[in-house]
Amino acid sequence: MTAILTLTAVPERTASLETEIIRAAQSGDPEAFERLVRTYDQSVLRIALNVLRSPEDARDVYQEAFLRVYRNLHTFRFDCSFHTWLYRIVTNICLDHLRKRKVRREESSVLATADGLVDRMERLEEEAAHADPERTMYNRQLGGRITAALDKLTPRERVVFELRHFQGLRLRGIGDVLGTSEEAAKNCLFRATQKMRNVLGDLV
Amino acid sequence: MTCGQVKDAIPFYYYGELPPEQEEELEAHSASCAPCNREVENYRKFASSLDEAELEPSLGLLSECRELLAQRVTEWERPAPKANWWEKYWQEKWKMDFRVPVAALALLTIGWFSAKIYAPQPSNAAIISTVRSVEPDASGHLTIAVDDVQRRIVSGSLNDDNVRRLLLTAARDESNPGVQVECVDALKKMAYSSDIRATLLDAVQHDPSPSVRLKAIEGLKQFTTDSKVRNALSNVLLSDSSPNVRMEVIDLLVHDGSMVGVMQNQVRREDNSHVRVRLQKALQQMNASEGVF
Repeated sequence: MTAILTLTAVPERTASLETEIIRAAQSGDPEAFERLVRTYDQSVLRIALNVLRSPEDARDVYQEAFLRVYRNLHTFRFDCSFHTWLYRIVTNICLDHLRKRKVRREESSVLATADGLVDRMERLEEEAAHADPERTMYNRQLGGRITAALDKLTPRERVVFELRHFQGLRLRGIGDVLGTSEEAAKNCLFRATQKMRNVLGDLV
Repeated sequence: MTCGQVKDAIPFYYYGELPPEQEEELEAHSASCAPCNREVENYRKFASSLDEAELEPSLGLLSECRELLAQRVTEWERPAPKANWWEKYWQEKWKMDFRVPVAALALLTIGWFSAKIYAPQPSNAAIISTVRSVEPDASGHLTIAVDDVQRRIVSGSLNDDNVRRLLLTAARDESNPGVQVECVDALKKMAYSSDIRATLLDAVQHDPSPSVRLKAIEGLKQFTTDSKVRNALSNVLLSDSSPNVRMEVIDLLVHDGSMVGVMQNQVRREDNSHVRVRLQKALQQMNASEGVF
């Protein structure tokens, strides 16, 4: 599990430095904006990639999210932490993608490359492949099953599960990001884990 | 804590989301309950298996995203500057006396093009043009006489004088039978009004369109006791070229004993077998014979 320390416990000095960077970016400083992007963009990309399980969609979410930040940063009033504000944008875009995807289920997972047609997820795994072929095989099998299990979740359950399990956000924080209560996020997580276990029970 | 409560609480226990006292209770329970202890272990295995499948964005994807974002940000217009920037902005190279006329010219240009693009074309909107004559001269120039008719929308009930006047006029305009039928259909609801009834009577006797005449007959159904209506209908029965219209009139006059003579007259000359059969039935219904003695 990846722990994103900047999201859970931001040291005071770091927080004030971040505030300075945000204010500079709000004033139109392009370098400050770039610093802000680089602070969070790996987390944003990881969330999008794990929620949507598609590098192309993750790239789209990244673009859309940071362009929205760029256009609307002047409206950020420090009423909440910047990462909550940013993650709200990211999760909303991810939810939109998931809802649209439910409509166009027929979307192919096959990608045309110079080497012919390959499965998107296989390509992704190969990019980060370990040398061990057995492990690659296991990961591929497990990855396919997890993708199938994630497909059983509603968009909201999927986002909650991702933020809690892979991103390590607290349920209260997830509630803030999604504009809902901690209790609602908890219920969502419970349903998600139940569904996941039902699908993956025999594999794990 | 019961086994069921433990089972439900295990995911939150794993994620450290249980309040401390519940966490202690769960640990105490599973320490003494083998199935629950196994359940906790199973959840741990399940969760760590998921960790194995976490996708990590490649450096290639990340740098692609950064490059693309940089491009799109430069393409994108910056958001409106805040007040302090606004002041600085005004002090920069663009001077007020230059910017205002440029902006005005830009607005005029946009307006002119918008008007060119979006202005309604005479052929398809308010103005209806009809070419009345075309006269070429020796040089090849053409002189075209065009009637431009402007369309407008009038709405209201039949009690509205303007609406009524328009309907009465259109009901007599034989150039458009479709509109005539619609007008007569609207007018027939007020056939008790003498001007409207006169229009219906005129239509039923003289309009060239059988559809308009049939619609007018519908409007006159309630007024067969009116001698003018009765006379008009008997004329229609004797002279109308449309069998359908004659059939409709028979159905209206069958209840009027004074119409026996007209029907007996018509049954002898009727050349349409269906209408003749209908006339014979009507005379039977009126307890009258076909012949005149």
